[in-house]
Amino acid sequence: MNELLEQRYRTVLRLLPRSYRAEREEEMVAAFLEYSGDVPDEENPRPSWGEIASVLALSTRVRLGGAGATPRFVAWGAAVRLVATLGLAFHAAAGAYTLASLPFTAPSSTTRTLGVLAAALWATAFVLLMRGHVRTAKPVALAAGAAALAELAVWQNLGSLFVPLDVVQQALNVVVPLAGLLAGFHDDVPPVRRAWRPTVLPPAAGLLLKAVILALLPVLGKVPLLWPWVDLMGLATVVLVAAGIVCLARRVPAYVPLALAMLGTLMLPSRLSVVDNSYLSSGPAVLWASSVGQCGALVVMVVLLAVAGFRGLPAVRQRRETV
Amino acid sequence: MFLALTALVDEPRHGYGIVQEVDRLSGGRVQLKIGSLYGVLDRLAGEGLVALDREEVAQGRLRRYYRLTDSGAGALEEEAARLTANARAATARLRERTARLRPGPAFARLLRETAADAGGAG
Repeated sequence: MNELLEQRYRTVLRLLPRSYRAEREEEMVAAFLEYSGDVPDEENPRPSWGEIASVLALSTRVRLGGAGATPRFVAWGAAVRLVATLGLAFHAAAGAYTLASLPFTAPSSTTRTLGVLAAALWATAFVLLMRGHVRTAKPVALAAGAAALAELAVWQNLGSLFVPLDVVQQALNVVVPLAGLLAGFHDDVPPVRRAWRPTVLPPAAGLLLKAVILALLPVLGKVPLLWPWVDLMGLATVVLVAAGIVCLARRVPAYVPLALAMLGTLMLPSRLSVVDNSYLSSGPAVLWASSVGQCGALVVMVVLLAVAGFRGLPAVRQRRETV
Repeated sequence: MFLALTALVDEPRHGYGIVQEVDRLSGGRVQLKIGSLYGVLDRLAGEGLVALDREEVAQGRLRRYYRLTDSGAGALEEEAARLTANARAATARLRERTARLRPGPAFARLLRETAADAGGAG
């Protein structure tokens, strides 16, 4: 009696980290079997989807530093939250750039409407997150992500040049920070209200970039070498490499290099797509070499940050606090 | 969290015992899944509101009993007071609304007289 159900529930519990199972598995199995009552194996019993979902949610929370997590998972949770925060910061900067570009773009196209909507929503979501309104930031960021993905889909339908790496990178840039925001900022993480200065910095950087590009416009046409350095992702690459150098030079908590390594990995397809782009491969060799240099710096930095992050993580077998 | 804490007020309970009690307290509206229960217990234990009371083996299976701590009782008391205050405010406003909508004595007398006149005429 109940053997099959027990076996299947134990399989579901394998979703949980080993350290958590070591302490909770037997008691969870006992509670589940009491809850289910006697079910003969002939009835081919299975844990309900609701039970499986509850274990999956518990597993995600424990792995991202929720109550009962080991220090290692607490660090992973902090890394995921930093990825979400910096991802939204990037979108807030890009959003401010898009809004500042409005007077210079063709009026009333579908992509423009979606782009403007996404830009405004990203910036709002970032401000809400930074000011501690996490619950409100989540649906706003989801709406921003939906608008951004819709814009991407419309672009593809318009028959524009399809660069797979570019599409993948843009989709990942939306999905990964969103997933980090939804999963990383769970109920066990008390909201933190950050100061206004770091809150307005990314949108201000987006506006500044637009002003700089406008000022450099006459020069940019003549110096293609600058192109890969003045697009948003190019600048983000420079910022990430610089932050990585600072991070490696100083003793910072493990979650910081881990988060930067994740963000660098996310940026890599964008830089690879630049190298792959026809306007570069047919352009001056020095320009192509400059883009390859960007890629190389990013790869090296991601590897160094990942190694530093993993080395700095607390040991796997540290026990969690017993109830 | 509120119901899980309430379930531990009268005595320490094990996992399934808490699920049953929460179900009873909520009149069947809240049916905790086991994964959710342990998420709640982790959180309550992390905040020091519940603690492990004892372990038992029943029919070859491990049962851990949890008890409400003093700090848990205090937190529950505060939450109960807050909910009571909310309920009291809602009840008072509903009473005011009913009084406002109910016809006054003069209007009620007029209604009675009109009804009597109509009866006499018939």
